[in-house]
Amino acid sequence: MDKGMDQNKSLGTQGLVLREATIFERSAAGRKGFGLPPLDVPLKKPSLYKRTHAAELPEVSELDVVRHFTRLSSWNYSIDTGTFPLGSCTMKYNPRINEEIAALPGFANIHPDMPVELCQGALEVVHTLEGLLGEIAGLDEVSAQPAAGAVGEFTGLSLIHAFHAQHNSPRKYVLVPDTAHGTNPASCTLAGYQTITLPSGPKGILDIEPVQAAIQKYGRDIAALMVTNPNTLGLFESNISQISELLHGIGAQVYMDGANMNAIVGMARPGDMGVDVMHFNLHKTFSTPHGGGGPGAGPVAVRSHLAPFLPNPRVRKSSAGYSYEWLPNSIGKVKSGLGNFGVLVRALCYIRHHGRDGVTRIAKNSVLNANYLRAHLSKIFQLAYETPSFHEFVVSDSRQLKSHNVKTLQIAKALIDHGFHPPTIYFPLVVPGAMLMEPTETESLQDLDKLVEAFQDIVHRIESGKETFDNAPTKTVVGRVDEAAAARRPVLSLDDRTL
Amino acid sequence: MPSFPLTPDEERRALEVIGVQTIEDLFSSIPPQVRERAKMDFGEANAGLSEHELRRYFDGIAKHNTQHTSHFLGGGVYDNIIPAIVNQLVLRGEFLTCYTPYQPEISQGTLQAIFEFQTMICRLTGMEVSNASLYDGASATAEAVMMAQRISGKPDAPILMAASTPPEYKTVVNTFLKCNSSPPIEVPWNKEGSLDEEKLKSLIAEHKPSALVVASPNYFGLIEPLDVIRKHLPADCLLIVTMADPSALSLFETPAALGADVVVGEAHQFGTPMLFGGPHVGFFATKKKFLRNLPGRLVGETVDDRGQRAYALTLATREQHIRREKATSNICTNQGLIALRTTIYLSFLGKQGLIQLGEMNYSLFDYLKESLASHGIPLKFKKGLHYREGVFEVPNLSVRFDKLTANGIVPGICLSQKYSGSQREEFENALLVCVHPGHTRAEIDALVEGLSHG
Amino acid sequence: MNIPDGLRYTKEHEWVLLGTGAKEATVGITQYAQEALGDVTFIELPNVGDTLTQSKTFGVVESVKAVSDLYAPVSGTVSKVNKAVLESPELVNEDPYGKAWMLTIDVSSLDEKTLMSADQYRTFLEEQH
Repeated sequence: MDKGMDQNKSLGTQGLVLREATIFERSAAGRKGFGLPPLDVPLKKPSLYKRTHAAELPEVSELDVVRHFTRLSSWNYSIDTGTFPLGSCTMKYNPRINEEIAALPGFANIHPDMPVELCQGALEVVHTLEGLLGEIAGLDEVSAQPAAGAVGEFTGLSLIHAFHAQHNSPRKYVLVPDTAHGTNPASCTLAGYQTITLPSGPKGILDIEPVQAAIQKYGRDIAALMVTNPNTLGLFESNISQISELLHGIGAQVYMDGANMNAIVGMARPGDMGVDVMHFNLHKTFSTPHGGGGPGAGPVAVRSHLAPFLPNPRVRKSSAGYSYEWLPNSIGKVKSGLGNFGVLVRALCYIRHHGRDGVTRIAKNSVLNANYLRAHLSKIFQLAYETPSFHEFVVSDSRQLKSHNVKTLQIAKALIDHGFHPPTIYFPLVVPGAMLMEPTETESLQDLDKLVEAFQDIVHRIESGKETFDNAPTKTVVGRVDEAAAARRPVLSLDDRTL
Repeated sequence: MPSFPLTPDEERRALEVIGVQTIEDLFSSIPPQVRERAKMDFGEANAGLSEHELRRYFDGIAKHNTQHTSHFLGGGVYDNIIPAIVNQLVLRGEFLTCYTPYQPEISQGTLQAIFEFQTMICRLTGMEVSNASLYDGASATAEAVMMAQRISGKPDAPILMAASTPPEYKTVVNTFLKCNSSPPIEVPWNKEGSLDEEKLKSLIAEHKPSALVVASPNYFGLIEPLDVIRKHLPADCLLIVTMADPSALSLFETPAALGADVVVGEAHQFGTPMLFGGPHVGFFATKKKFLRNLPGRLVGETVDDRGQRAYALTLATREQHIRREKATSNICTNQGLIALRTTIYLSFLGKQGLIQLGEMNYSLFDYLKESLASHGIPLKFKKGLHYREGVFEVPNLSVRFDKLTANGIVPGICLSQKYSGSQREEFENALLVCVHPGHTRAEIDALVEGLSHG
Repeated sequence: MNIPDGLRYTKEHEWVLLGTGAKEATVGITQYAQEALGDVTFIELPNVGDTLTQSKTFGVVESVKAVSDLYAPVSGTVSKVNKAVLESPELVNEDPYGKAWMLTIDVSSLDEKTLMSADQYRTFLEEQH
């Protein structure tokens, strides 16, 4: 009997995994947890608006908490566990020195309203990082304030809004290619703009013609073009310079979503392509661990004509040290304080760790790894575009779907049993049955070879008609989760069960 | 330099498999003029640093921030005592380096922890549903306002906001509303620092708002009479309560019981350091009837194909990656790891611990207030119900502030820096002073001593 | 694929059952639509008495990871809404042409050209693929 991959070779195996109910179900009335320091002033209690029923938090011991969360953690797949070819997410390993540095008391324990003379170090971090990001972007000024990529997008578009308002030229539309992340159109709405979707060309990149056609049709009602480069197919928008010129010709701005900077950092600078404003995703390119969904940071970099509108306050350096400057025409604040400072510390640590030449290696190695994986996987899956790709690439399930009616989702779930995180599936929307793969620069060839073997084994089993993986994954702590039931009758808290 | 995995041999092998000569060839679709101009100068940062050098460099920077011995800063960011296990558990790689839980079969740990977070936020605030968290208290407030506008069906619906909301929250809300509607209309505070009910009534009549935003405790540390305020509001006007200091929920009645429709706020003080302002964690709780208008992620309980209890992200059709320009928000991420810190902290602090924490904050402030009053430094808003912070009128404030600061004691926030115009004049000698659970009587005595002389 | 004769169809993959004299129309989504969406989790419909305009959106069908607008196949006033399908959206997957009817409309006007016969809809589906 052909068992496909030798089970002794598959990374995915089964070990002892412990069950664990919610922390509330560990609770025992009267059990004491964390001990606060003794109160050395008289005890006082409010007499008005007193809470009538105490909040039902758990009553658990230190070991209860440690066991509970340690067991929970063992149910997660993570970078520390294995390879994560998750396209558009840049799930790379982040050096642990970042964590140590960000936890230094001099960074962690600083209140944002500390008088400037007592937080010069914090201001130095922000100022230095903004300078380095500006150099990487090839742009003039940077604000590290936005809390995430989506806030960066909103900030950048608001700067554009303010710029056009100052020139008495209010505009309506933002051009967005059809390969864009969903955030882009959502941010446009938030910034008061309507989105015009531009079709990408046969090579997967934006051609000049649809931009010309849009300009013909909407003219000076176009506020900006919002483009991700390299785009979400992992392809470099090589017409970007000409397209930027066209937009500048009608006074429109060029916004670059820097989600994929990992592919070009040090190799190409947005400012050199005609970009007026961009955001970085520091948690992707400059290394804050994903943490199961945040926190991140989304600094914006701008050309000087947009700088007067940047979020307040700016950090300035003079011979007297660092200080705040409040810009009169600023769009305001987009986040409390100066941003997600802890993430900024990690980014500065990471950039200083690499140095100028090191950051270029990020791009080189991530693109090399992606193309290595692409060379192997294009033999078993349909490659979506022949155009040379950068840090990520798209294949589709069309062969497997046609021959054996096995869909992308089954392939993705089957990969889990092999010990890998699935690629991004069904995105970008322009490729039916898309699998978007981004191995990142921190994977070794050995690990990529194992990933290729896993894919080969899955495809072999499908194409030999042995399996359709309808029930995959089988080795995980829970099996296929009923997401439809979750959405039909939402249960969103423990008390919701009885609502 | 950090460690890259590829050896020179492997690099050659990879290039061979790909079928190109050099790595540079892989970048050939970058236009040559763009490629040539990509010359960066990092100055002194051109050379990479080893771990040892990084430690030396950052220790040198960080020590400029540790010259004070005690501080009384609050106003939305609160110093707190963090149990060792919080820092230890969040460093587990399975939490630290996992992805957003889109693949539920390999993300149950994160999903269950968020479900527990949602449950805790509901129990703290008294509301029916909570999302998986937002960036911070200010952005959660902005999202609440935009949700109220969505529910009203008018994207530019008028919004009232208490002027006593933390200034940063107000400016963030303004920025987010700016492009699609007018900024919120401010409802002034009365001479006792609370929401001016007469002004509220006339502003409601004039503007027919979709929502009122009230901070409680407000920026001056005062608990607002939410039940009284609710009575002034028309039925279709949402009461949004924003809580920069949710530790007040330990002692004070829940906003839900007093008539709030939405409760948002900032939860960083539950186990996350101040970090110069972030990353922190916003929370967002409301009634179940508004579920489909909620921004951000939600985790729901369901079952797997083996009949086991399981969790999954749910109602994703509200979100940007599906609904694009029609999404309820452009938000992509929650503050996963910070929400986890909050969940661990609140688990360990527990039901009794939370009450003890609240009593500690309340008692320390009471002691501070009485001591300052006996030294001739009264509260500015004497009649109100304070929780852990308050505004004091300090004679000769700037001199005393500088003197204390030079001695390593940061006495609070000078409110004149936070306001402009007539409000700035009102606060010329006003200091917002806040206590923290770690404060001792001796520290407070030293502050009182310093503020009452010079 | 199940495409019952006797119903009319729209390009938005809705079916319409016209009563005698085309005074009343019952509306649902087709087998093709429910398969494309996957497990339906939520449906939003107008209220009885609401006025609909042909080809304008009147509701939403959601599955776990997709959202689809509903477009009025005729103009008129909503006379009945199927509460069962609102409470159990899975009916759309189980019985799209039967239990999962969504609403009936008192027709004020309709454009015959936009409504396909079963044969025309079959051809339309083939052309799309």
